Amino acid sequence: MVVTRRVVSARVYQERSGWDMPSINPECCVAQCMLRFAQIPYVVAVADPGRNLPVVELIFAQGPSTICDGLGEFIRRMKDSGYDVDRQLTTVQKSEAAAFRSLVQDADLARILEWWIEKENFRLGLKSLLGEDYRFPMSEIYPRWRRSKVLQERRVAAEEDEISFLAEEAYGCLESRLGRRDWFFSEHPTTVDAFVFGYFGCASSGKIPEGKLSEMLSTGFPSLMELVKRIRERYFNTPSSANFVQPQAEPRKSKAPVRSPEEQQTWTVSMRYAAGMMITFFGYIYLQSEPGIEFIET
Amino acid sequence: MAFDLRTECPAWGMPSLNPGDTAALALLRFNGIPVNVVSTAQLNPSVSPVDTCVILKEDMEEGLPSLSGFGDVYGTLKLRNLGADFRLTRAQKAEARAFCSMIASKLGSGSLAEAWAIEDNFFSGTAQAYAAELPLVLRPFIPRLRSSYVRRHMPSNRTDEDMISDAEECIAALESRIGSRSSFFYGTEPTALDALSFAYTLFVMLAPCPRLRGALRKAPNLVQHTARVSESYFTSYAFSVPDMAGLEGAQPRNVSQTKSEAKTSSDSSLSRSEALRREWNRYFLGACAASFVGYLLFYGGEVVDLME
Repeated sequence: MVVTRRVVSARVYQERSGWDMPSINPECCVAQCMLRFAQIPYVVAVADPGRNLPVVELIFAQGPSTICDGLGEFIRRMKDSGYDVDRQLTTVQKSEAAAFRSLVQDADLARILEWWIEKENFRLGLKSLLGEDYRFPMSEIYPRWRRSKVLQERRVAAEEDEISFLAEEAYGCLESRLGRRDWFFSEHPTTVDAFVFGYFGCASSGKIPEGKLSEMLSTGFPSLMELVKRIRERYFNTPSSANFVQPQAEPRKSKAPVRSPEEQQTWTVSMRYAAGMMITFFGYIYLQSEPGIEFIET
Repeated sequence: MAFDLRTECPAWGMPSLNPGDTAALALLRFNGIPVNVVSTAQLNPSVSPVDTCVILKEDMEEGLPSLSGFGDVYGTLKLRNLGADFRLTRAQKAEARAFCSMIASKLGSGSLAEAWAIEDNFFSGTAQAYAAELPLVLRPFIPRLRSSYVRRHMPSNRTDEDMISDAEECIAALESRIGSRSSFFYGTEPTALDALSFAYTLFVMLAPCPRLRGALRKAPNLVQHTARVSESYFTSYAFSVPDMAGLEGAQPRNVSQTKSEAKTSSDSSLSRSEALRREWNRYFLGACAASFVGYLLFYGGEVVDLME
């Protein structure tokens, strides 16, 4: 018999909020949305640079907390803990939901292209937004470093028009699937609704001065826009959500970064190795320095 | 209308090692379009040996130069109202598009990761299949080049483990979607979804993908669908869809298999960037050792003189 532990709260480490969205990273928005669908109270904090976002720490009623690296692991852990927001769907509907989630993620390439890859758009949009949290020179270094990381993660061999066309087609499919319904499946929101809120919501609310994507999405897909608005109003901005801890940037108690147990072990071994190297180096200088000097003098 | 379809080399009896090529070929056959398959694209000097490979050349007089990739082939047929896809309802079209997207991104990445990126699988099957039609001198190099190209173009923030898990979920989703239908995904005529599903499932069955084969063992309807497409449209090819008991995932494991899989899973738990960093570290150490030995060999005498 599998015993599931009850999640009492969560801590979401994410990229900063902005442009009317809980985070500028769509995967962090999806994680927050799913926590709200599952009525799990949470707080947000800014993640350490370089982590696979979102990092979600699930705090259980009993036993140690669990750290989930990335959206996939977070969804799996939520299911294992009995918080499956798709539990009311039939098997066929679950398979359709998986397909639509994949479609939403594929369509996100257009946003990545406009926000991160096109240099001028990046300079006018995200660079200034990301730089707000840091002082000079980090305000210049950090956004560029994030951009290089995104470029490294996403190697795409496609033309801009092609990517834009594919995104339009994919969102068109979602629009026709949603139709006039409140949610994609049944009477309750599911993971597909959370994904649309995260990915489509971010892409449509981006405020890039020369960007065309947000305008195209907000005018071309009214049902999806309505869905994003509905989720924002019902789950993120109403008095009925008093049981949630409103997301605020929680001051970090310790400066130590959040690490999984495996990472912590690797970190400890690395630090010991570095200390060993330092001791060997200074020992060498201390013990072997005189003959070296004599050799040079001779 | 006739097409030249340039594909990668055939492997394991399949028309091409690349499932995208097989899917394009299946789509053309579904519509009864005659195709001339040119399966030596990796030896063609005008085609990069490591680039995506479905290249469809139509008669130049009709004003269509060349198409690359399954999406282009599908788009061309759609423009001419060929295929069963345009008969679907809007909701069915949306659903089919979502499943196609899932197959190409999740099952495609997972099968690529398992066949090309996990070293045991690559050296035990994929490398030989890819090298079979190459000149002897190139056999040690080109498959490795292709493997490193595949690894470089996978997202660096996702491990092989993640991608294979996603592919397993994709197989389960396709299985429950097709259910016990006795023909194709949407009625009695095959669509683009049938072509993609057939090509990628066949690749998983025949290529060295032990984990995904294990997932296919739990998907008998999907295997039957693949066999159905194969019998109807690919009778001239040498491959045959293996039965469920013949799939490797169904075999009881022995100790050596378990050990090698444990090694594979520990390798695949590294993130892409970490694996790449370790590989470069190994090259760097090798270069350091080589330069040190070289220095000793060429200047060893002078060092001994200095010490004396």
